[in-house]
Amino acid sequence: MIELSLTQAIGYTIGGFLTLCIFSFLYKDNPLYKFAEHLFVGTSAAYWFVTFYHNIIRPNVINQFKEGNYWPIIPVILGIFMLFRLVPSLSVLSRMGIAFSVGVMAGYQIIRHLETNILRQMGATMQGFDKISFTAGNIGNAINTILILLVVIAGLVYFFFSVEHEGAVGGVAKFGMWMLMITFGATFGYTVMARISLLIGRVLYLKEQWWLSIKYLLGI
Amino acid sequence: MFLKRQLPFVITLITSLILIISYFSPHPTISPLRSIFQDWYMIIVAFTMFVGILSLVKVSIKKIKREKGIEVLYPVITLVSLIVMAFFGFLKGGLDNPGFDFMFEYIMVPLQATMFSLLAFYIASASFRAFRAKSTMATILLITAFIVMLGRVPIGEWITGDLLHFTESSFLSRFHIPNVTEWIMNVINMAGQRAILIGAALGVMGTSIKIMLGIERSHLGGE
Repeated sequence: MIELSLTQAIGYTIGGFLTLCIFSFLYKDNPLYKFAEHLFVGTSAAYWFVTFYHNIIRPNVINQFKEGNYWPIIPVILGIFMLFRLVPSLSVLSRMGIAFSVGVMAGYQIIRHLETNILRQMGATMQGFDKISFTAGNIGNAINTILILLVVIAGLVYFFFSVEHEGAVGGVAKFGMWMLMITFGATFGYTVMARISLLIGRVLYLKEQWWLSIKYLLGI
Repeated sequence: MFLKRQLPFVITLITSLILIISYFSPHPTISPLRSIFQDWYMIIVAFTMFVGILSLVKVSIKKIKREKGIEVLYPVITLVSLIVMAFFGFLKGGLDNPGFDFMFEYIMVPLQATMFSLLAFYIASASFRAFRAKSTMATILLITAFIVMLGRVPIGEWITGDLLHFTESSFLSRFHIPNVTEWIMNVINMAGQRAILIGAALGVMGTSIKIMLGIERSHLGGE
């Protein structure tokens, strides 16, 4: 049995009511759903605004200024330029902030993707080959290692459109497409199960916390 | 024209080049620029968040002026919840302020979780459409998704475990549904995801180089 405080009981009651408001959309769009939807927009915007202030602006700008480091004035000016996006006559200034952000991301993404998504993934694909063995008991692992390499190569050939998918290349691409279909099927099945478990979580919330809170508030 | 085209292009090129060079260079002046630029990027992102908030307030006020009847109430709810939660967030304690914490835990979290759980119903209807075995490819997708789902619920364990006793034989245990699911996830799915990741990474790198060289300008309105 969960012990509840008055704050928790009120909180869970509100949470349960809002959960039901969202679920009411399954019947049709209605005022209760719209109420919850707009509440969600407002609270989420406030949450991210406050989080960005406390986690980014305060340590990287305000505290830096207090310590005598005035370099963050550059991104602050670029950030203020971004606000001019809402003033049509000055909106051209916002391009400086966008240009800087896009430049940082472009440079960062080249390095990050090269390192993490290409070199490391290729390394992991070939890693098993140094200890591959076809002795009894290891055949399963050996086949899996080879299969992983084949699927990765076939998948990449399927995505390679500079050569026409005919003959041998076409065959490999077709095998790649089958394997990608299995991947998509597995991902789809996994996503369905994840969403269902979220739904189960909400139903359990209503059944346990919410119901208990109502009983607590009614003194039952 | 200089402010609109040339200067943004020069800023993009210089910042991206500095970031790439700083990764490869151990020079004490250049090397820290990577983390400094990333911090600066986050500061600009924080300001764009503020642009978003201002835009939300602007749209809500417009709606309040335009709408009639109960429809006026919805933008008011957005504005009030925004102001109240932000107010608590800027009081003593910040993110740990009891009022802010209460609104986060008992309003935002249930709303967010329920919004996502609502997708279970829509994904069920999407499954109905996707799982019609119209072609070989659709059949492969259907069978895989079915096995993966079955392998993650007790009935999958029961069918090939308690009912067919696959688990009692070392050979047949490979075809025990949870084991098949695990194999699909760890071998085919992982390799497929890897091919997608590598392909997408090459695409991202190509686009980044196009942005650096000023060939791709859609972020500046395509000008």
